[in-house]
Amino acid sequence: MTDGPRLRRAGVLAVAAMLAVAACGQKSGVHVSAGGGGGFETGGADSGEGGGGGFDTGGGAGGDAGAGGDGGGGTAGGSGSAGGDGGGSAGGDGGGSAGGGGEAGGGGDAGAGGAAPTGPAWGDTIVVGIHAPVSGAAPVPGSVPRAIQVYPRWINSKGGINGRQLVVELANDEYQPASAVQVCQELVQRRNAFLLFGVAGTDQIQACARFAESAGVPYLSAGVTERGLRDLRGYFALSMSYAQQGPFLANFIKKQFPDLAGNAGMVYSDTPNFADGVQAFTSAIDAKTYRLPRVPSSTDLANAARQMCIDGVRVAYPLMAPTDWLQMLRAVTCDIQWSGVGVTMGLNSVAAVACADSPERFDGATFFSPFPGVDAAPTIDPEFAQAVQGESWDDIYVLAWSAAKAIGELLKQAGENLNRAGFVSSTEQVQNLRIGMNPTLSYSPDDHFGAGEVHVLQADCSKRQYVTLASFARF
Amino acid sequence: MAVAGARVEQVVDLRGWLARGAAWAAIAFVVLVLPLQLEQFHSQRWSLAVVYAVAALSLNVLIGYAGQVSLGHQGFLGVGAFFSAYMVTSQDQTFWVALVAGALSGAVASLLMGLVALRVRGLYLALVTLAYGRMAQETLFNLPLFGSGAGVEAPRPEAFSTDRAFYYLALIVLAGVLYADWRFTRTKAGRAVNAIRENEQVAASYGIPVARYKLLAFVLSGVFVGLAGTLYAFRIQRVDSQNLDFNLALFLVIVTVVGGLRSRWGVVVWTAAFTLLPDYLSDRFGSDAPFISLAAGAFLLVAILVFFPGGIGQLIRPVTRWLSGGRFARDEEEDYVEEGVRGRP
Amino acid sequence: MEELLATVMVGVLFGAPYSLLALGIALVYKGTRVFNFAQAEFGTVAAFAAYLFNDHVPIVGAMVLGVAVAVGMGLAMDRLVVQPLAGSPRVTVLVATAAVATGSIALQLAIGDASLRSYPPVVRGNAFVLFDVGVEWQRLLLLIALGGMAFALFVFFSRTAYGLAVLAASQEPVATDLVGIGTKRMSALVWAMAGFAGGITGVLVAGLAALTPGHVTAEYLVFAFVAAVIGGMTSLPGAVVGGLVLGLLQSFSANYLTDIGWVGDNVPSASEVVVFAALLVVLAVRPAGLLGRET
Repeated sequence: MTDGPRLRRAGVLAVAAMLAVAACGQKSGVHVSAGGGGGFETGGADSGEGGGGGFDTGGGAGGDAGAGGDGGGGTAGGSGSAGGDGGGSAGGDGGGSAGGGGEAGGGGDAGAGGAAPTGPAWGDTIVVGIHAPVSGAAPVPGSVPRAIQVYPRWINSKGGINGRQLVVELANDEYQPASAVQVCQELVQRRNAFLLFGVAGTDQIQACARFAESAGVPYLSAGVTERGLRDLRGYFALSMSYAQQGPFLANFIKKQFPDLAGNAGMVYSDTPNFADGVQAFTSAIDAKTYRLPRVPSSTDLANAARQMCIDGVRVAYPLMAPTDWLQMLRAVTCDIQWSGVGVTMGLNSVAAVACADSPERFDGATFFSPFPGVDAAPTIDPEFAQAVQGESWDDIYVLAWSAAKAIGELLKQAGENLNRAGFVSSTEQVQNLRIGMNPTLSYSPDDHFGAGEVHVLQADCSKRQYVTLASFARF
Repeated sequence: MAVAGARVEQVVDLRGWLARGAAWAAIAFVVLVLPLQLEQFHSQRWSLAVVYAVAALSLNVLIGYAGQVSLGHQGFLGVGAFFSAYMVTSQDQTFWVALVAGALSGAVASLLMGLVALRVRGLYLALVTLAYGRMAQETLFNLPLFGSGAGVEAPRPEAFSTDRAFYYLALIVLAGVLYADWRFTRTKAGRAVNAIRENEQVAASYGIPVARYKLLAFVLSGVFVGLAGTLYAFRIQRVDSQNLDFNLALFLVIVTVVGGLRSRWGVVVWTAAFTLLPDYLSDRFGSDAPFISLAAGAFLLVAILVFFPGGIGQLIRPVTRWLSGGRFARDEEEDYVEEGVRGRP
Repeated sequence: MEELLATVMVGVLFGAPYSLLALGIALVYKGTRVFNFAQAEFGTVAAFAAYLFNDHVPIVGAMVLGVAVAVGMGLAMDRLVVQPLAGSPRVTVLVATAAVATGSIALQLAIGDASLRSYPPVVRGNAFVLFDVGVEWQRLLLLIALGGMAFALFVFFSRTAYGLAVLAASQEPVATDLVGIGTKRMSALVWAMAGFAGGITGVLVAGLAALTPGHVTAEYLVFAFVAAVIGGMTSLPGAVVGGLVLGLLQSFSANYLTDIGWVGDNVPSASEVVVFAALLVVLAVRPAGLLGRET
């Protein structure tokens, strides 16, 4: 097959070169990239973690109230080890604290009178770990790394959060739950993240949230599913979940499209994480349902589109991956008013493609969103306008600012004596707090889904983007 | 026909033994002791390398020994992963039962594919495995039994709840698989399988029951990949169908063939390197191009196929022989390792 | 009745892309006895090239340029991958083509990014609506391209000297060389044609949905291969038939099979199972395929 030693040598060189290149790139698995610019100080060895693994909001009520959810059990190891030297780190190696996963003993005694729970305070830097699908089946737009740095820059210039500097680290979860767990763990253990935030991707958010719980790390995200998340002590939703938005959407449709509401439909991907969303909507309005496989083929999509038109559906709620929905739109031959919920459906990147591919079908579609459109954002939160001055920004910047500011404010509320358990308990006491563009939040120890408002976006293909129809709306 | 696992000539004096001993100690230190000094997440990364190494050894049995190309091997990894996770989560079994269940389920799935392989050969078999891998990812792993697409949780037992402990467990499994593989190649069955790969008709004419040994190879491969699957699931304590895709199948083929078919150490070493190096180098240098590594790996595969059919295993053969007490020789006699991929068209 | 006709129509319309890609696959197999797993990547590369050219040139011109790039890729592949592996077992070459496909996708991701792109069809929108099924202009165009290519390839292999030479080279390379026909040139010709066929498929197919890296491979490759096997790997008409059959299987599966409660509840992506089963059945019962002649 091969001839001669010369060829061999050439081969060796080629192989060696390739090995070098292979090693220099990244492989699917873990990517932890510092958001643009690099050179962040991750907390030094002193920023020890407060409290042991788990969210002991009551003083010393150590102990685990058993596993939460299905198969809770074993920690993902290494919880509570500070960055810096490994080995015997404070807060326990998570060794053997199997059942302990994040369940506080005797719930409800959330530090009465607002006294912050004891535990060593966090150091001078607060690292917020963010995971998002930078690549994968439904990637977020490329402006994410830059967008997430706007708020930290702004708040740090104003003295930080109770004197602490805010640092945001982004990791790519590749739109895969397994990768999400891995990068979340690295964000906690290597980057010393105080808390974690998930941008988008229901499965990934759910996976990381459950990991975070077992590691005793607070986790926040836009509201998506409630499955497996309702019982987590350290999870907070910054906006309404699918289940919460179901009745809202039903009422919105009845109000906004009264002539069409009698012929409502819902087309969705059949996956457990969407089940509560489907249930909530269909119990609030009479709608024909069209179930798609989790990974629908093009014939599945065409078939559903055809069926909906035959059945005379006039207004429909799509709960599925945007890429699939965009493909389905092309096969829709009748006039359907699309009306659903974000987060990713409401992105301008989706609108741009949809307006190019199927303008007549897509124009006028409405979606709830945790953040307002680019037309209204600067007015609703002038600090945002200030912070992005001089930079070219898009709706991702709005999303990032909105979430980051909410997190920053909640961190501030946790006080100077900052530790994870304290953060959880102070956040639980938040009532009627409106932060920037984020929907008003009211949490309680029993309810970590504290939003009750939405922004409403509408597709405007003449501008190839979403415009804001309503903000802070209730239905 | 080169004989499988030919014994290495022992030619060493005291100085030689000391040198070899030091080398072995260094290797042992890195593999066994270093993880204790580093943070836990390193162990988690290294566990993945071990998992893939076991899976690659499994693929090596199929492609390297039996000459059957599998482009859907992730479909078998997933079978082991989901079954073992299911055993613990839904059937309340212990981890050890799950481990056995994972191995058995992998064996059964692989056996079924083996039955297909009796009738379907070469290129067509590759296509069948490809289609199987796809179907497994989209249907099999999304069955209600396996969580309807949301995946299955796989909580570890107390004893292995830390990442470090789990890493050592994975190493033990790898050691077991290496040993089993080593023994297999020395048995009559191992030699028969290789004979079948080289020339099926000739092997049959020698009285070797081709079908039986082919199936045996599939079963052995299935046991290995089932074990890998179990480790895969319990490493992050959950498994879902999302990353059990064609890319993973290709990755396994890449590491197996580039690692060197029929070369256990080549496969293990290269798999570990290909899994770990990108993570570590990107930690240091960062990268905006997440797929350069995969692209390079693909090109590497082609280069190996063209220039170096023996793969990395062939390259490091002098070292592995030295470590086992042989000479450090660059001359390579017509070696068992070199033949590359074979298969009936 | 209408339901049935609609299902058939969808099956034909959605099967045509499989047929088009399967033609390229059968072409390569006929000409070189190789399973080319990179065939769909010829398409994706062509589509991406066309997408980029479209910034400067109207879409039709961009498509032509895209196909040209695909032809180049085919020639390069022949030179760098296929020829060096000339004496190897075919499985080796198959693995090499799969590696090329993976490398191509990885490069697309590395150079660009993973986000969606809107790729313009030659003509937007539906030509007409029949049985409540919207028939896009692009899909009609694809059918025409399918017919044209099938006819052209048929004529090439059965009527032209080059076609015969290619067949000879693939079946009896030594004898062909002896007679004076350069097998290397034949190989290059076949792969250039493969690039052409794949490229045409890609630039047309990309207009049916949003364009993503590895798009054509992810959506079509496995199905196209199954289609080619069903039709018979050496048969060009078989490739066409196989693709349509596969489209019909998927369409009927989407429309009728999932309506069966038990299936809908318990078998996710039932159409995948159907395709896999069809492959197994064909290989078990009639390995030569519906129209193939080789054992």
